[in-house]
Parts: sequence; C-alpha cells; structure tokens
Amino acid sequence: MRSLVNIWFALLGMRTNKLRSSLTILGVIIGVGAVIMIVSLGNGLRRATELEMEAWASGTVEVRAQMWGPVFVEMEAIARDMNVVSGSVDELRLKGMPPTEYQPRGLQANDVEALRKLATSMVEVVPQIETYAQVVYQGQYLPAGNVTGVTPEYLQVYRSEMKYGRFISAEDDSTAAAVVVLDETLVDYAMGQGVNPVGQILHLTVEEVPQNYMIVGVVAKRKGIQGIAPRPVLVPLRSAQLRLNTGAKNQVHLLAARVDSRVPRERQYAVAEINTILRARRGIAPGAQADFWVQDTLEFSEERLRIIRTMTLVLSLIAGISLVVGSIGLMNIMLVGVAERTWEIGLRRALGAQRGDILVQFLAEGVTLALAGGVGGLALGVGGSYAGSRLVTQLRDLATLSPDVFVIALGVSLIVGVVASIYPAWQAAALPPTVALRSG
Amino acid sequence: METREAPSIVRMDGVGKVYPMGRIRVHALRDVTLSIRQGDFVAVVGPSGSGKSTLLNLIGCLDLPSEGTYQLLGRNVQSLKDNELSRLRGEGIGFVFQDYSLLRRFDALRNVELPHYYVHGRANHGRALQLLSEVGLAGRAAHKPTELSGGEQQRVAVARALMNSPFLLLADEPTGNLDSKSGRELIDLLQRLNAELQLTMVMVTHDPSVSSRAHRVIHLQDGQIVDDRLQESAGLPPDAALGAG
Ligand SMILES: Nc1ncnc2c1ncn2[C@@H]1O[C@H](COP(=O)(O)OP(=O)(O)OP(=O)(O)O)[C@@H](O)[C@H]1O
Ligand SMILES: [Mg+2]
Repeated sequence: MRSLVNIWFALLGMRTNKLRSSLTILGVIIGVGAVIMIVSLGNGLRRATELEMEAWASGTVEVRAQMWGPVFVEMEAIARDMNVVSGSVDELRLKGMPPTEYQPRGLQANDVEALRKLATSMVEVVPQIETYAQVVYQGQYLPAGNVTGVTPEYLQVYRSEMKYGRFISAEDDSTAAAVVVLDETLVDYAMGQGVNPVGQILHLTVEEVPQNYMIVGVVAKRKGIQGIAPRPVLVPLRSAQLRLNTGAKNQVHLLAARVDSRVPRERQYAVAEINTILRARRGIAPGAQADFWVQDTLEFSEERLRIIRTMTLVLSLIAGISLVVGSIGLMNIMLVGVAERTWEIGLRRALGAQRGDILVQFLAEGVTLALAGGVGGLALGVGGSYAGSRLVTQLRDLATLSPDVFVIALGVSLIVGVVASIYPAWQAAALPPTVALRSG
Repeated sequence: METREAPSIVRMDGVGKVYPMGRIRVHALRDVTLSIRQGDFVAVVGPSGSGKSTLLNLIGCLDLPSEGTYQLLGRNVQSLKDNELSRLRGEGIGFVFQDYSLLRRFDALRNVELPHYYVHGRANHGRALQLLSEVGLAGRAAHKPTELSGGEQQRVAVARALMNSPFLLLADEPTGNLDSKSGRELIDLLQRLNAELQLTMVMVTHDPSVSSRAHRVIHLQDGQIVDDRLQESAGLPPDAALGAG
C-alpha cells in the first residue's frame, strides 16, 4: 500500500517535466530497439542458414581434387587420430614432409568405384564435373554460367526431388545424351514462376559452338534457399566429359558422398575414411600431403553458423552500447531530478516520509521511464526488424518475433531502470532532512 | 514553569549543535536547557543566525543534537532509529515553514493529505476537507498552490500540519512572508488551535507583534538562551530589554 503510494508520487513527479521525461525515454527506446533488432535479425539469419544447411549440406561430404585448403591439414590430423590411416602412428610421425611440388591430378572414375566398394560410412557417392558454358534459352542468356556433369546418384546425395519431368538416368550417362536438368530457382528467375520448360531445347555454348540439349526435368528448389542454387544446370557426367570440352575424359573434379549422420564424430570418421581410401588408391605415402582435399559441407555451414552467432553477439554488444548511453541519460536525468527536488525531499521527510519511501519514489520514477522506453523499444525493434526483413532479400520472412524478444525488452529495461536510478534514489534517500529543507 | 501541572513534552538538557564547516566548527546552539509543557505556546526570538531554526529542527526531530540529551514525550530522541524519527515526525509533529512549503503539482487537498499517506499509506479526504474548512478554505480543496494567496497557502500548510493530529506544532517564521493582516489572521488561527485543542506550539518569529501573542518567549543569542520568560498577559508588546538583547 505504502509502496503503491510512493509509485503514485513518482508518476506525478514525472508529469511535471514531460519533455525531459520523453527525451529520456527516447534514449532508452533507441537502446532497447537496437538490441531487439539485432537479436531478431540475428535469429532470422541463423534460421536462414539452418534451413540452407538442411537444404544443401545435410549429409554431404565433398572431395575435391584441387588445390588443398588449410582445412586439409586438420582433416589429416583427424584421420591420424582416429587411426584409420594405414601404417602405425609412429611411422607417420617419422615421415611426413609434404612434397615440394604439387601437380593436381583429377580424381579418377575408379576412385569413385573404390569409395563405393570400400567405404562403409557413406550411403552414396556422386562424381561431378564442373565447367562453364553460356546457357541460352529461347535466344536469351540465362544468368547461370556453371554447368555440372553428374550421375543419377546426385538426387540421392543431395536429397533433392524433382519438380517436373525426370532426372538424368544411367542410360543418359552411359550414352552421353544431350539432356539437361535445371534447378527450379533458375527456372523461376529466368523463365517465370511456375513455368514448366520440360521438352524445350536449351543451348549450351562452348567455344562459340552452341549445342542443343533437351530439358528433361526440373529439380525442386529447397526451402530456405535464396537466389539461384549453386548447381543450376545439370547434364550427364559423360556428356560433360565428352561434349563440353572439359579435357577430362576419364577424370572428375569432385566427389560428393552422402553421410547419413549429423553426429560430428561420425562425420569425421567418414572424412577420415575417404582420406584413407583415396590415399591408398592414389599411392600417397603416409604422412605426405595428398593431392585432394576433403571438405565436410555441413562443417562449413556450421562454421558459418558460428560466425553468424559471433556476429550477432558483436552487434548486440554494439547495440548494448547505445543501451548504456540510454541508461547514462536516464541516470543523469534522475540525478538532476534529485538535485532539483532536494527541498521537496526534505519536506516529505519532515512530514513523515522514511528513507525507504523516498528511495521507492525515485526508483519507481526511473523504472517507469525505463519501462516506457522498453515498450517503445520493443515497438521500434520489432518494426525495424520487419522493415529489415523486407529490405534484405536474404532475410525475407525470417524476422522472428519470438517471445524472448518481449522478455528481453522488458527485462533489459527493468534492469536499466533499476541500475540507472538506484544511485540517485539512494542519494535522495540519504539526504538529511534539515540540509534538504535549507536548499529551498 | 515548575509551578505548572501539565506534563513536559519537550525536555532538553545541555543541548548543543555543532556544524562542521570544513575546519571550523560552527556552534549553532550551546548548552540549551529547556522544558516545554503540554499546551504551551512558545515564541522563539533572537537575531538572525542565533540558532532559532536549529533549535526548532532539533525539537522537531529533523536533526539530532551533538551534545546534551533531548527527551520528547519521555523518549530519548538520540537513541531512535531514522525510521522511528520519521514516524515520530509524521504522527506527532506538525511543521509550518516560512515559505508555505506546498507541493506545487498537488492541489490543496492532496497537500493536506500528504502526512496521512506517509503514516497510514492511504488518503483520507474526509479529514483533509474538514481541516481545510477549519482553516477557512472549504471551497479551495481543488486549488493548486499557485491559485492561492500567500495567506491561504500558509493556512493550507497549517491544515497539513494538523492532518495526523499531532501533539506538537512547530512553526518557523510562519508569518515571515505574509502581510500584516494575513499574518494576524494566521496567528489568530494558531492561537485558537492552541486554546481549543491544547496543542503545544513552538514558533520562531522576528516579529514582536507575533511573539507578544505567545505565553512564553525564549530569547536566543549566539546559540544560547539569554532569556526565557512567561507573558502572563499575552498580547502586550514585548519587553524593551528583550528586543535590545
Ligand atoms: N547545516 C548547517 N551547516 C553549517 N552551518 C549551519 C547549518 N545550519 C545552520 N548553520 C549555522 O548555524 C547558525 C544558526 O543558524 P539558524 O538557521 O539556526 O539561525 P536562525 O536563528 O534561524 O537565523 P534566521 O533568523 O536568519 O533564520 C548560523 O550561523 C548558521 O550559519
Ligand atoms: Mg531561521
């Protein structure tokens, strides 16, 4: 009852200086709003990436016969740890200077065979050729330069489904048929939503020579994918090797294997197994550097997720600074208020107010200002993140209005209110009544 | 004074108040010994800086003595906790200050009720309205202080001081900012309260026409009581010797 009275006194106190109260609230609004915006956009970004992970990377481990990246060294270390590399660990330690020169050799068709036969950790393997061609449809250049040669296993490895028509068949591959499968994202973008181009002719132009390909199917796009998919144009592997002048008659550029596990340790095992088998096949001495590298795409996405989390955290800290600025503004106004109303405090004390009454009154004033800022900040933050998700394509429909945003807004502003006004309120309560009365 | 039968409300013995001002210690009061009985109407007079307000603040438990002992209603004030002092002020002591001391954003009614909130935690419109009409402001309950004259504001302050039915009313130069007519009316009011309610009153004043209305005049100089006398016939001009002292 008594506290309620003091809170009522606090509300009356705020009414006297509306402009000042509003400006103070504005400071808190901006701080809370910034935090909410960052948090909800961060959540959106994370969800987008998670969906993308589901869509593209779920379970695929890619093996590239290209220059190795730094990832390679790590992978090999894991392979050694897990003791799947042939030869004892000691033996590996003794040898092991990398070759001074590196000549990339493509992965061979029989590398694929070896993996299919020997590896136990993967469900399916798809060899791929990556090349470039001008893609022309009905006289229009399509915004897709990269053409990928794949085998029928592609669908399984990448967990894709058909939207229209059929996928590349084993026969297409063995006969190097002039057929092409497009990704729905490309069809949507270049030909219009819901257009079914199956049965139409597409031209792939390599070295000025256009080749006719029949569109036999469209791969359905995945949820969470924004923009054009990374492999928008698919042809049979042998067609790519023989027709598209890739200079890789028996070679492939990339192997993608599907591992049906999201458990990091099992995935590491798969990576190690690929390493071991391919090293043995390709006669690379234990400890020497391999001429291929194995990359777990899921790990890549997880890395991205980690980066997004870190980014969100860093941005939240920056948003937090504006919150701190808002709090300092509030504290400043509270201190000014206490100084201005010293006489009033003395009077109230003379009329029977206890220290606690004065403390509650000023604390309630600060907390009310901060909560008003919190509510305003919530509106600003939610509005801002919706606006952001409209403007930034990657975030479309992903601004997440989760209940924790409400909790954050109210919790944060409550804390700001208490922290910013506890000292001024304490100062007000500690004023000796006579000193306070003299200030009038 | 020992001849009076009424019980002693205020009893000070060798009370001094020292304010540390940097290195210097200002002795605002020294060796004050006095006793105020129920129903007394005491005027405290003396030159500026003689310690009148300091004495009143000590009596009103707004401050504690640095020396000596002070008993209020037989309780040793120095041994009370801060909250107990607040409660004592709220419940038992009414204050009237020179500058009306009303909260400007509250109307007269709320101002009068203020001590009630702090003691009982709720409003009491009935009593506040009754007090306002007792001080002659029945129709002004909804007026803000800025809408009242100085004399009216000071009467609101008196009503506020009476809100919790105090046993002691302290007034520090209550007529200091008023013209002579309003001042006279205010003193009439205080005198009536003293007579009708047997309300003990201590009033600081510079004005001889005001102090002449009291039963007893305490004269302070340099923080010490230099004269303390009863005025059997209140209303007479003060003794010439007192004024010169
Ligand atoms: N809080 C304080 N700190 C330091 N000195 C003080 C304080 N309060 C009062 N004094 C000093 O104590 C002395 C007495 O002050 P007090 O206010 O009691 O005088 P007064 O008799 O009420 O004067 P006036 O008639 O001008 O109101 C003065 O010298 C004053 O400067
Ligand atoms: Mg004074």
